[in-house]
Amino acid sequence: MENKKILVVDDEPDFTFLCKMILEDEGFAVDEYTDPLLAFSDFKPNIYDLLILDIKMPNMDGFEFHRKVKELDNTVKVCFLTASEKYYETFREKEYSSLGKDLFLHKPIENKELIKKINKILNAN
Amino acid sequence: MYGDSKSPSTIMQTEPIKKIFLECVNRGITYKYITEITKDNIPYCKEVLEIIKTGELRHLDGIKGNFALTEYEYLATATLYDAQPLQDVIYSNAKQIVKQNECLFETLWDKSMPAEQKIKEIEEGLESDVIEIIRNSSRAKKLYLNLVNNAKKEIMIIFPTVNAFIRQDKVGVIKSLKKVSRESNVMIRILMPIESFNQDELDAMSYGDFRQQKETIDSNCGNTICSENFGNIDIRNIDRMSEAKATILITDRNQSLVMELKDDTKDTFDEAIGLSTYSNSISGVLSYVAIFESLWIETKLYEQVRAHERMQNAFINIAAHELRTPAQAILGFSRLLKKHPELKDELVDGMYRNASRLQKLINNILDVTTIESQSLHLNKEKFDLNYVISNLVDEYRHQIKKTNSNIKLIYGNNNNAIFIESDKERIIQVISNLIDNAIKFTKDGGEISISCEVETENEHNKQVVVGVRDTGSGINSEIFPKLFSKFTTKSYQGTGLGLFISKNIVEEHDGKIWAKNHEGGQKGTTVAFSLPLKINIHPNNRKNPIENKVKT
Repeated sequence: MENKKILVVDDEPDFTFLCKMILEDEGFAVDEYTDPLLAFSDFKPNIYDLLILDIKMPNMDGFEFHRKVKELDNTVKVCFLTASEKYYETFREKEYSSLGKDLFLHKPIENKELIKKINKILNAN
Repeated sequence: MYGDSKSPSTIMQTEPIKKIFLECVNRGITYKYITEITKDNIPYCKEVLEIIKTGELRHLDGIKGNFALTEYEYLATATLYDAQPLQDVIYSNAKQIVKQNECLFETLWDKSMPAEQKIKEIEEGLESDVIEIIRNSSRAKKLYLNLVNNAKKEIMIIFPTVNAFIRQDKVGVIKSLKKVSRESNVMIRILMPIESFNQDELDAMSYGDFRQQKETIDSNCGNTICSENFGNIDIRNIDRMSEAKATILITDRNQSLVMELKDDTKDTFDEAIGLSTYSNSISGVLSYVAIFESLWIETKLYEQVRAHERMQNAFINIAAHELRTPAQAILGFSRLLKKHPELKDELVDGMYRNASRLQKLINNILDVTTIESQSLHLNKEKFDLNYVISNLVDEYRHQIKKTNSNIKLIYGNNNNAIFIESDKERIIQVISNLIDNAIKFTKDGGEISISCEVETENEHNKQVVVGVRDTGSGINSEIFPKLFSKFTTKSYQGTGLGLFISKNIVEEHDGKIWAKNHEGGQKGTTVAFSLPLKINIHPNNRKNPIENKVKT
């Protein structure tokens, strides 16, 4: 899908690089960060259509990042992408449960699969 | 007949009474005689035993008063004073009264013990077995304190509730326990719901040491077993018993006191306690001991299981993340390769990097499994440690340069060869682990210095000490005590297995490993390990038996 802008935050540089490549191949515009603090301080509202966030990160985890960003920008969608086992429970406990399982993706994920899920999220309403 | 301890002598010594007694026996009358057998009246009791043909002599403690019954008549007197004429008697031939006292007699008969047994106990100096029900809580309290203060070797106590502990503390039980443990070296073990104590209850405890124990138990609960030593007093946790409510005390494995908790809401011991049972009957006491011992072991096992479960969960969490992350990169990059041949170099480098990371992790996990199943084997060979470290340091310098980091690696050894006999691969693994850790926690511009020196304690004790010193932030005090155990890590990468593995490798070589945060000026940490050096046998010292024989 064209003209959609995505923000990717993950402390693994290999992953942000990978994500950026995959998404740009599909025509998305992508900003990538490995430092959540920097990502937040650079954040401007109404630019991004979607956030792709890792959860386990130093200094600020994915949930907190999203919470803070939401205060600045209520319309941006979110998708969590994690390699850990334990965060699904926390995810369900927080408000996200009403938004559906699709927002919580597990690594490793196939490139095609990632695109599919992202499109689904962006098209949903 | 029911008579006090003076009655046997009265019967046997008073001629008229003795005469009638013998006559009745010879007439075939059955005598059921209960008396209190004591050291003093044993000879008379023995006489009675010889005389009685049909019937039996039995013993009961604490008899006061006398009465006699036939099928039709009842006669009771007060205590006889040797051969003094009777003062007052009660007589009745009323059927109901005789029947009543017959019942009474039978009850006493059931409670009594055979005379032979009692005589034997007295003669052999054995204390009689007693199981007594104590209804008076004040008496129970006295007995309780008595038992504690007179214990010689060991005390076992189960407190069923927090309140029970607090009440008994108020009447001085804990004070006595500490005293007896300190003064007589008595081993004391307590089972109580110590984990359930809340802050108010803790504050009510008059002994700082117990409060401290609870805190130690709390802070250890995360990782170790809930059992702390305080002098000779060992406390372990049991869950609050909601059904069973009794305090159980066992001293020296030969006396027990079980105090029923009638009402746990009461403030004082006297009001809270119901019936108590005292026993010095060995088999009974030992069954309480068995109960205590099995609960004691069970709490330890239970805590071990819980700790193990916590570790397993921690491991799964960490391993999952560490395995999945590089797998994602490899999968993703390999797919991208087709679409982006122009990025071939970068992508392939990335795949290699992540595959190495996976390889390292796999090796670590397998190493841990090997270590835990006791199958770590060393392939020892002789090699120059200095040379090996030099090479390793060069490799690391190379790697560091590649990542554009500014960390300086210093190896200060003046090219002296140091030969050791050990598992080269494994030693390299240990040193690499230490250097990796140093790099991980040292910021840009920092310095890591590696040293390798021989230390000679004496002629027979030589060792080589390898140290890795960094200028990082130091090891977090929270993890310091568990530094060399599994899953200890403050980094967001890695499983926390490296030091655990290193420790096991070093110790398998009979060496030691340790870590120290730098004090004073420069921050940082030094992690070092030692390996024993084999003593070289000097050719002149070698004993040749044949040579010696020839010499003499």
